[in-house]
Amino acid sequence: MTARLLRGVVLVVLAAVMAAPLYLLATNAFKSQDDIVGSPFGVPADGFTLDNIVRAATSADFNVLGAYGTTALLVAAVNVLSILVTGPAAYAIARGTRRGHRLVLLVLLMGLFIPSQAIVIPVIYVLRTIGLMGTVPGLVLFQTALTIPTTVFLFTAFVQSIPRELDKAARIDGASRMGTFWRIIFPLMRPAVATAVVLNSVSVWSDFVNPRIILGPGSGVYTVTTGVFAAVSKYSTDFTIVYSNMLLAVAPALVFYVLLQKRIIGGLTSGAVKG
Amino acid sequence: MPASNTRAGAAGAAPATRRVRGARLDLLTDTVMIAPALALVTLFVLVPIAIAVYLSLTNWDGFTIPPSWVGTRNYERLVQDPEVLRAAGFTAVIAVVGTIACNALGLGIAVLLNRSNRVTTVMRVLVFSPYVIGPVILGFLWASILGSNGAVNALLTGFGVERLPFLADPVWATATTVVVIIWASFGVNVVLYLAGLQTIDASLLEAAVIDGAGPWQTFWRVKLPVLAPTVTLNVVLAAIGLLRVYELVLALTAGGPAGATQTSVFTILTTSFSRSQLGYGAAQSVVLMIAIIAMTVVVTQLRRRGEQAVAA
Amino acid sequence: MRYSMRGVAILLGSAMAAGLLTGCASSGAEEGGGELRILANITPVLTKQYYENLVQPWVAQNKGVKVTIEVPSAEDVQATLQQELASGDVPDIVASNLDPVVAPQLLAFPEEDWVLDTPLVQENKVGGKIWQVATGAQIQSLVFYNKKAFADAGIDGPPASLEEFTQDLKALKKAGYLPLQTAGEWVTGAQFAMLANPQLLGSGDFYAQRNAGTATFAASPYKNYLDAYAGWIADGLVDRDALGLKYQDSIDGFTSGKAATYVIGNWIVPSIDEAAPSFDVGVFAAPSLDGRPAGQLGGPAQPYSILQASKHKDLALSLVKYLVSDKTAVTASLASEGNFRQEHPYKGSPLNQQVAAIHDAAPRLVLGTSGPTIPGGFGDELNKQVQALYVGTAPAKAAAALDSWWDLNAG
Repeated sequence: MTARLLRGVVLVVLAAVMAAPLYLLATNAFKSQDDIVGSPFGVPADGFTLDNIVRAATSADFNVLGAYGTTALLVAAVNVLSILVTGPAAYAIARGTRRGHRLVLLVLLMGLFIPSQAIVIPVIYVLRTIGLMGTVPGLVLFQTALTIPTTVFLFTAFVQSIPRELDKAARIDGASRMGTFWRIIFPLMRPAVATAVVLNSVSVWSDFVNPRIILGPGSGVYTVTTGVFAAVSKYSTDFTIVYSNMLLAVAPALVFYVLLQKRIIGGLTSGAVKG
Repeated sequence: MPASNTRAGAAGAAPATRRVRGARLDLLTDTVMIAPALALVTLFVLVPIAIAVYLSLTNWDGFTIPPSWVGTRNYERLVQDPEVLRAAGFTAVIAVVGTIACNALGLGIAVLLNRSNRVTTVMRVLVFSPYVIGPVILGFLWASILGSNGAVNALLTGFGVERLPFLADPVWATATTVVVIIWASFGVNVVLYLAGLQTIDASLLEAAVIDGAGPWQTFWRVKLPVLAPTVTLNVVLAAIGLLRVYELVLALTAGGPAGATQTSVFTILTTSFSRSQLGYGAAQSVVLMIAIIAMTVVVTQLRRRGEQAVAA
Repeated sequence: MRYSMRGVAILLGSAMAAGLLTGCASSGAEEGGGELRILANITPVLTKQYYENLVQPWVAQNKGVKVTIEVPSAEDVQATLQQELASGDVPDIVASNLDPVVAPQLLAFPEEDWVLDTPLVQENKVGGKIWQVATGAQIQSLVFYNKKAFADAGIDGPPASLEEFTQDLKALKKAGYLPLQTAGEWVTGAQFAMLANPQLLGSGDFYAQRNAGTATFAASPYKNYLDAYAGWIADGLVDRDALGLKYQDSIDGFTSGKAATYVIGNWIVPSIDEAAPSFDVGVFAAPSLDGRPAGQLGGPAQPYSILQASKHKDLALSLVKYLVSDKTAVTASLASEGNFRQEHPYKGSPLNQQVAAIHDAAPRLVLGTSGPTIPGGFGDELNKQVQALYVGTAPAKAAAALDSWWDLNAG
C-alpha cells in the first residue's frame, strides 16, 4: 500500500516538474508583459490576448513558415539519404566475414565520438572545396554523415538478428545482393528503421550550430532553431516576444510528437534493444 | 596433397571457380554497398579530423593563407590557460554528475513506467518531451523561468520570500545549468531503459516471485543483471552527449556570469570566432575528441568487468 | 511492440510535403542585378527596420539595386564576420565597430574629401590604412543620474573624484535607492572600462606599455577602480544579483527610478528621452582618481567597412559615401544614438546638450577594450574578471588575472 502511495507521489511530482515549463510556455505566450512578470502561473484577470502570437507570426525577424519548411526539408532529405546510404552498408558489414568489414564498421562508428561542433570549422573547408558551402545540399550531406554512426549501429545489429537462410533463399531465386537487401531484408528492418528515423529526425530538427555556421546569415535560409535564436536572443527581457516566438517554434513539433507519440516512443523502445 | 585432391578437384572444379568468382563478385558488391557511406564519413568526419589536427599546429586566424606553423605551442598554451581548464572542469562535472543522475533517474522512472495504462503513456510523453523541443528553445525557456525577473522569482516575491540568484550568481548558475541539463536529457534514458526492461523474459520474473523475492530483490537480482548491456549503452551515450553540451548553455546563460558556465565546446567556438584564433580553437577541439574517445574506452572496459562480475 | 512502417511514412511524407510547400520560398535571393549585403550591429535602438529606413533614399536613387540587412547569426558582428570569412561567403558592407584583426580583409577607403571629413578618421587608421569610416563620434565615460535621488540624498553637485562618487553612492543607499545600476551580459565589463579607461590611458599609451612589458594591470589605475568596485559590492551599493540582469533590464532599472546612477555611453540618451522618466535626468563625466577631468572613452559611432571580397565595391562605396556624408542620413544616424559630428548640428533634447557639453570639455578621447595593440577578446576577459568580483574574488587577484591573460594572448 505504501509502495503504491510512494509511486503515486513520485509520478505526481515528476509530472509537475516536466509539465510546468510547458504550461508556462503555453499560457504566457498569450499574456501581457505585466501579467507574465506579475503572475507567471496565473490566468490574467482581463483574459488572454492573441496580440503577441500574431505579432510574432507576422514579424520580419522570424519567418516561421519558411523556417519550418527548411527544417522539414532537411529532416526528410537527411532521413532518406541516410537510409539509402547506410542500409546497404550495414547489410554488407553484418553479413561480411572478413576483417575488413569490422574495420569499416569501426570507421563508420567514429563519428559517434566526435562532437560535430568540434569539426565544423574544417567541414567549412571541405564544403568550400566541393562548392557546397552556404547551401542546403551541403548541410544535408554533413548532417547525413553525422547520422551514419547511430544508423549503422542500429542497422548492423538488427541485420545480424535476421537468419542468413533468408538471404540464401533469395540468392537461389537469382536475386542480386543489392536486390536481396532491399526486397527481402529491408522490409524486415522496420523496428530499426523506425528508431533511426526518430533519432535522426530529432537530431536534425534540434541542430543549431551546423545550420548556423554552414548556412550563415548570407544564405537568408533559417531553420527553426537558428530563426528562433535570431528572433529571441536580442530581446530576451521582452517576455511578450520570447514566449510567443518559442511557442510558435515548438508548437508544430509538439503537436506532431503528441499525435505520433505511440509510434515515436514505440519505435525507440523496439528498435534500440537489439545490440 | 595433389594426389588426394585430384578426384575431388575434377568433380568440384566448376563449383569452386564459381565460388571464387562469387567471392570476388561479393567483394565488389560489398564495396559498392559500403562506398557511399564510407565516402560521406571520410569527407565529413575523417578529413575534417585531419584538418583539425593540422590547424591545431598553426596559429591560423581564419583568413591568412597559408596558416603559419607553430608546432605544439597551442597545446602548451591550453594546459595553462585558466579559461580552458575551467571550462574543461565544468564540462567534466556536467558529464559525471549528469551521467549518474540521468541513469539513476532513467532506470528508476523506467521501472515505475514499465506497465501499460493511460497514466504511464502520458508520463512517457511528458518525460521524453524535452528531447523533442531541443536545447536552444529549452535554454531560452528556462532562462525566462529562472532569470531575475523570471517566473519562479515572481512566485517567490509573491510569497514575500527573497529572490534566488539561479542564473545571477556563478555558483548558483553552475548548479542551475547542471540541473536543467539533467532535466532536458534523462528522458532519452527512460525510454532506452524501458526498451531494455521489455526484453526481460516474463518467466524469469515469475520464477523469482515463486522463489519468494520481493520487488526490490527482483530488481537487484533479476532485472539489473539482465539490463547490464543496456546500462553500458546508456552510460556511454549519456556521457558522450553531455561532454558536447553547448546550445543549452548558450541560450540559458551565454556562458556567464563571470564565465562560470562555459563548457569546452563553448570556449572552442568563442576562441575560434570571437577572437579569430582558429588554430588555438582547433587544438582545444582535438583535445576534446581525445577525451571523449578515452572516456568511452575507459567506461566500456569498466562496464565489461562489471557485466562479467554480475554474470558470475 | 507492434507497429508498422506507416508511422515512418507519415513522418517523412508530411515533412516532405511541408518542405515542398514552403521550401522554395526560402531559397536565397537571385544573383545579379546588384545586391548589397550589409552585416549590421543590431541593438534595441539600431533595429533591422532602422537600417532599412536609413538606406531607403539611396535605394530609391539606385534603381535595380537590392540592399539586404543581415542580422548577426553568431553572438555578435565580429564572430559572424569571422564565420563568413571562413566560409568565403562574405557581406559587402559591415555596419559595426570591428576588431582591427580583420582590417587586412577590408577595403582601404580612398583618401577623398568625403572620407577625410568623417570623425576620427586619422586616429582609426591601421597601418596607415583607412579601413572604416564613421558617421559620428561617441563618448562613453558618462554617469547618468536621477536628480531627484541626488536631492533626496542631500548631494549638492556631481562628484569629481572616485572617492566622492563612493560617498555619494553611500548617501543614495541611505536615501533608499539602488545607488548604481549594473547588469550581467557584456554590461559589467563595459561599464568598468567606461569608468576606468580614461584614467588607465590618461598618461600615455598603457596598452603599448603592457605589450612592451613595462606596465602591468596590477600596478595600473585599473587596480584602484577594481578596489573601489569591490567596495561597492561589499557595501551593497550595487545589486549583488545584478549579473542575472540583461542590458535592457539595466535601462529599465534606471528609467523606472529604482536606481540612482547608471554608467553608459551617450547612445542611451534617445532611449532615456523616449522612456520619459518621472524624474529629471542629469549626467556627469566619469569621476577620476584625483578629481581632475580625465578624458572620455570614445570612438567612432556607427562606422562602416567594405569587404575586399565584395563583388560590388563601387556600389558599396557609393552607398557608404551616402551613409556617412548625406545630410539626411547623417542627421538621422546621429539622432538615433545621440552621437556627435562637427558641422552636423541637430536639434537634441536637453540631455543631449548636457552630454555635448561633456564631449566638448573632454581633454582627450581614449580607447576602449579593442584596438590595434590589444589582443582580441580582452573585453570579454575584463568582463569576466569584473564579474568575478561579485563572488568575492580579491581585486588584486582579478588584476593579476588580467595580466596573465594578456601574457597568454598577446603576440
